[in-house]
Amino acid sequence: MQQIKGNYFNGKSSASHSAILELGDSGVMELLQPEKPKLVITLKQSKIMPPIGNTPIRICFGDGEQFVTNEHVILKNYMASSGVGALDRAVHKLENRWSLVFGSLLIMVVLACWSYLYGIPMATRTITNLIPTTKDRQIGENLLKILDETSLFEPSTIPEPQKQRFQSLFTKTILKLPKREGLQYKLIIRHSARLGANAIAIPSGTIIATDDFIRLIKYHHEFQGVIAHEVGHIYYRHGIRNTIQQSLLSMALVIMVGDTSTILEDITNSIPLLLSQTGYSRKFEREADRFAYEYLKKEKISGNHFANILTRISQSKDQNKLNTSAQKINNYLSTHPGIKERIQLFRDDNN
Amino acid sequence: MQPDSMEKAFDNETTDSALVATTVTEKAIENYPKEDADNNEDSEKIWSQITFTGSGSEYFRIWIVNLFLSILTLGIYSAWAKVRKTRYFYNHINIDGHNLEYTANPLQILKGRVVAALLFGLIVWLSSTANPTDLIIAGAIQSFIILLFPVILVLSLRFSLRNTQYRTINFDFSGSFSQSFFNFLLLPILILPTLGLFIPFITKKQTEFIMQNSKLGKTPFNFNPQLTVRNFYGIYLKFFAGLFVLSVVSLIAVQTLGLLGSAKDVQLISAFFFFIFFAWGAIWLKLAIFKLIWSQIRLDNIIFQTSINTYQGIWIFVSNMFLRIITLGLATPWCQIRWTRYKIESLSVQTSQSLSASFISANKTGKDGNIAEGLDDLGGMDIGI
Repeated sequence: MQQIKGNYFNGKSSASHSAILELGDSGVMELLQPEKPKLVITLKQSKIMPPIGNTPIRICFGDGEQFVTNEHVILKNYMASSGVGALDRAVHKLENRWSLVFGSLLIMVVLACWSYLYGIPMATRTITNLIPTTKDRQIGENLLKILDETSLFEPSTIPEPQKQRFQSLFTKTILKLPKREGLQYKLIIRHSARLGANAIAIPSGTIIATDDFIRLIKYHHEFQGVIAHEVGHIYYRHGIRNTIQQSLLSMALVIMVGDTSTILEDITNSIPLLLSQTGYSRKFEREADRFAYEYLKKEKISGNHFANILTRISQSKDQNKLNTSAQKINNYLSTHPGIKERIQLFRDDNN
Repeated sequence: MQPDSMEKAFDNETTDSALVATTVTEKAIENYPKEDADNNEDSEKIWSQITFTGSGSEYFRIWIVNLFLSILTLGIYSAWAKVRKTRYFYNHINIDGHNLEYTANPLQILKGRVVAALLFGLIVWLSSTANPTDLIIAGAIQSFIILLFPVILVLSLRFSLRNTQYRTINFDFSGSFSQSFFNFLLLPILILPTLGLFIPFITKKQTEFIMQNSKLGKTPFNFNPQLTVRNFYGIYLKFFAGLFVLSVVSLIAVQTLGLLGSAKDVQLISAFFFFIFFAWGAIWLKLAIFKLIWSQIRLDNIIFQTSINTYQGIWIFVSNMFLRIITLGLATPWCQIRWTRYKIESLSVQTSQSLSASFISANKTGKDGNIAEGLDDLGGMDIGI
């Protein structure tokens, strides 16, 4: 029969009493104290706090009574032979073996990479397909309303006849582009000092082109390329997918860091979120570029036109950019893939 | 078992315990458990440092396993993970030869998290839909949660304190909902009309509410000397002075580099100052209040003291952040251990008698507050003494 030394607490006061626990057969233990009657404890009626690290082990029994001991090995073996706390012991074992820990770390890294590259995008597509396009319309119309209230856009200063020409070119372009049920492609031309030369796709199907962008156009084919790119965003429902992807991403992160609630984490946790979001929006840009590429190829329009207008847009932005430090940082975190890389796709394959 | 061999065992214990009673028990954990010097009433007052014996490499393994099982179970294990993590930290906090224990039931925490997640999901869903009536519902739910905050605070403090044990005696929180409502919802309304001048006063009231309603068994914590409004205005004055100095320094640095250096330099220096600002805003105030609390708090006749240095604290905080970024987060467990060790080991207790027989159980169980625990977690609030 084995004995372990420890402290006994009666559960009513903080006083501790030296005691010895005798570990008997079939989970019956006897607690011995000097000048006091012995207490009989059974493993079944007591609760052993699962061991963690190398801290003292507590056996709780009766009405808040406890026996606290440092004799881990003996007690663990005793628990094992009595078949108590198997699950806790398994976790404890996992925590104590470096090889198992590194194994789980490796699995986690693989799992994280897989879900970032395939899992989350796949789940996003599945969920997006379940949502009807009426939702895209709702979100888009809401966004337009918000944009109207801000001073981001002002009425266009482009002469009416020129606008008409671009509208009819737009109609001609979208005729040849794949349609998404429930969404109607529309063009709006607005002036925006802050956006400069730019075109924005709204999930509901509306594309906003800025005056500066219209003025940069030298050939019809350039305009058609950019419109195809923006329609790509709408066709692939990037707006709604972005929302879903972001929520899935934050959910995954919450699962991963959910057990920590110290303030230490707050800011550093947002870094992977920010980086992966940037990665995803680059992926969207590439997808829209592909869409435009297919269209241009089908229409036998040289990819050089799209490459030219992209270059001109990015140059006009560089010119406009004030050389402040804030701008420099902003540039650093830009969501578009490198302009060179994007242009490559269109320059390489034009025959 | 032979009676005389048992005698001997106890004899050994008593000789050891005499040592424990008279020295600062730095290595108490090794000699633990000890019999306390119950009868050895020393009139001399002894300072004994509170020790933290957690180790980074040990906690790293627990952390990885927690993460791993949480991911495998799609977050279900995270409730167990929370308990294991908390138990690891509490069990390694050693006060006068005995450690803290955390007794929360993971199932209760899981229930709380499920409710919180459902509520959170519902709000997100409602606010993402464009229908204006739904927006009103979402707004209503959100304001309901704001109104609920004082209740959640009390429930969650009650839950965590009642599940914290020292020498088998549970801590307790006896603050009422109405007091909480007054201190955390009504008083803050006054911030705007007084242009923020009221904030230190409110912080004082809130600190007192939380600390003076905390108990170990039946013994309440109290302040001696009492906290004064002056204490808090002093802290805030220093805080804003620091902010002012930091902004001037960073502005000058960024401007000079902007003129002389390259874009990279500007980015680097901006990032550096961003971290310093963040650390100052997030940590300095907390540490200063921590210092104030633990210099003046008492538990019956037990006196606490802290040697914490707010600037050293900021250094640890900032360097931890950098370490975590450089190691892609893998240094997190070491950083948490380092941070906890710094805070915990700054504390010492002074007792005129042994802590042994001082406390009587209040016999309360930590049954309620489970839902609040989950809500508290999701909100990422950092409550705790």
